[in-house]
Amino acid sequence: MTVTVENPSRTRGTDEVLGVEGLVQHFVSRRSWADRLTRTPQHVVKAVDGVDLTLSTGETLGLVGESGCGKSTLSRCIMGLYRPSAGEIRYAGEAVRGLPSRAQRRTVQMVFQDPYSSLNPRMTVGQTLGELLRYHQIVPRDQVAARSRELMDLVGLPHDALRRTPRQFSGGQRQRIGIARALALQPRVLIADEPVSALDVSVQATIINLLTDLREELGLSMVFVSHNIAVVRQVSDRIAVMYRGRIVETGLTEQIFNDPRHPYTQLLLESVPRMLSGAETHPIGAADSLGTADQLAVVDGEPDADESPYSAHAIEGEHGCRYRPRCPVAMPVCADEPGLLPIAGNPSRAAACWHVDDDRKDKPR
Amino acid sequence: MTVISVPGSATDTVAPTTRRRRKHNVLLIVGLTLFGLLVLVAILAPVLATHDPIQQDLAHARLAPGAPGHLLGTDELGRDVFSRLLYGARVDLRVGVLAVVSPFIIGTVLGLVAGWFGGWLDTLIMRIVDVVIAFPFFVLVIALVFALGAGTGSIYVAITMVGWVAYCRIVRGEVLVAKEQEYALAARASGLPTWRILFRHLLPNVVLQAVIFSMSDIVLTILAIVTLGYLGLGVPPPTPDWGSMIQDGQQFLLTQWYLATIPGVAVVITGLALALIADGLVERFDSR
Repeated sequence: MTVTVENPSRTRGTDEVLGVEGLVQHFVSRRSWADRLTRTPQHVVKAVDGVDLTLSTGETLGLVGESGCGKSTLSRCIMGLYRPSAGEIRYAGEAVRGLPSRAQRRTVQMVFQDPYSSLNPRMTVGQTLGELLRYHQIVPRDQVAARSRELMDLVGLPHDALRRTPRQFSGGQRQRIGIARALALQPRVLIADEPVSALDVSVQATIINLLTDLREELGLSMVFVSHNIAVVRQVSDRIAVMYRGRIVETGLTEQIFNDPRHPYTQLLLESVPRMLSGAETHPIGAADSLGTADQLAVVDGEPDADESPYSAHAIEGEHGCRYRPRCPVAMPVCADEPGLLPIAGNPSRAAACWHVDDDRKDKPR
Repeated sequence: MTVISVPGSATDTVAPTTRRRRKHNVLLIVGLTLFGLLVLVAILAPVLATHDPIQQDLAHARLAPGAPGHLLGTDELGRDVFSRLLYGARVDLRVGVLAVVSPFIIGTVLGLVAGWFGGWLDTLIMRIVDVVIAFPFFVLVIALVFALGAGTGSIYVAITMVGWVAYCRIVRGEVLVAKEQEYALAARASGLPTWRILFRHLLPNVVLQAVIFSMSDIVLTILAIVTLGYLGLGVPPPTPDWGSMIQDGQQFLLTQWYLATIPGVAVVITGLALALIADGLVERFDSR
């Protein structure tokens, strides 16, 4: 069971611009004839395993989680790059059947992670933008050039950038081009999949500022995917924490940071390295006895080996809470997987943990 | 000249980082010059030739190079070697280039389709490729030429039916890599139609390897024609081509070595020109 999380009506509009319901994206390994003869079981990777999301107009949702937890798959599903195994995606209230139609594509656009591979090396910036403007008939043909220049202004690049190929730009400039390409279709939702993680730290801030400025200027909604908690905190109104294909906690940004309820969220927040200024960091879990102060949280279990219960994505034949193998506060009841449970007294929050309403004193602060 | 253009790559503005290497692309310039000269010679053969290339003159057979009136001497039937060489260039370059163009196009398109769509279509195309590859090249070509009847037309068809598999494999492999690149995802995400993504976005990025292969393939094709000529399945005599000249000359290797060597050098120069072009293209267009 999952509970649809009510979006708090902040000062922004509350109408849904993007909806995801029960989204499942499983990848099944290809079976050769030899596999079939030897009855080798199919390997199913549950990249996205039942996700509900709602995004309102003007809202920015931060999607966080460790590498391989399904963040990118989820954003690509929303983008219509995969045909979902199950579930529904709605663009502006309109259900997407199979893959989005040409008209629907305009609603949601994406900024990609790697500015070096996300631009066609054989096309100039002007060709890239012009093709989209013409194909989707965003502006009349004789205004394509003018509109391209406007887009360059929007992302802070000189007009003569249009005549150049991506090779002639730096990483930050390329990411600006990537943003211009996404904006060419005048989308209502921008999905930013780790938009700054491939950039120098000094450039990251400028791109994030650009994105937040554009959001205000154009009234965009945004899904901001990142493993960088600090960046997500800066840009997001609301946060969804993803773990092994599912959202395990969601709430307003400050609520999540001040009062994380899911043990995984707690681990994630504790894992952020910070300057030690006398402030203690605790190991996660019940465990003052296990670790010493002035340490980063101890992560027990590396999410690497594919078949291990610690792997970042869910695999076939598992049951129970997906965080149980790593959870310091697991109990017998955790053999049943909790859905997103509402947190008492806080309609905008939910966490997929049986401990969700535990008295906070039970847990180490 | 090959007729493959790479769209979107010619720009007026040149980045500082690439300016130096583009300006000094000696390989491409030398290769194109050399090949251009060969093409020019082939075109101007009727003007440049000093004799009729099939006119026999048994009284003056097997003259050494430098003999009066015969720059490169005469062959065993007294035909002027220089004139035969020029006319041979016409035949060999035409057949070599034409017999590469259609396998190139067919193989590239099928490779694009197989790599992009995957699934049963990929399986089907690649199984056909496997079947063709399972036969030795010449066995298959010879069988096809036999079935179709000797002549240049049959040579084109036979080489096309066998030659496309190499291009198909090359392009498919490149597509498998390129389609996971984010620019391909971005093209899909922006809703562009599949054919447009394939030919406008993917093709320019994957075709380079196939173009480079085609350069050496032209030489191989010329050699294939030489071999077919040896078996009596090539260009029918007395039309001069380098293959039959080598073939005719080899029986006099000990006495008149130049009869086989001169057309051999012509083949080598052609191969060199094409190899230089291929290397130059890599330097010019490889964005990696």
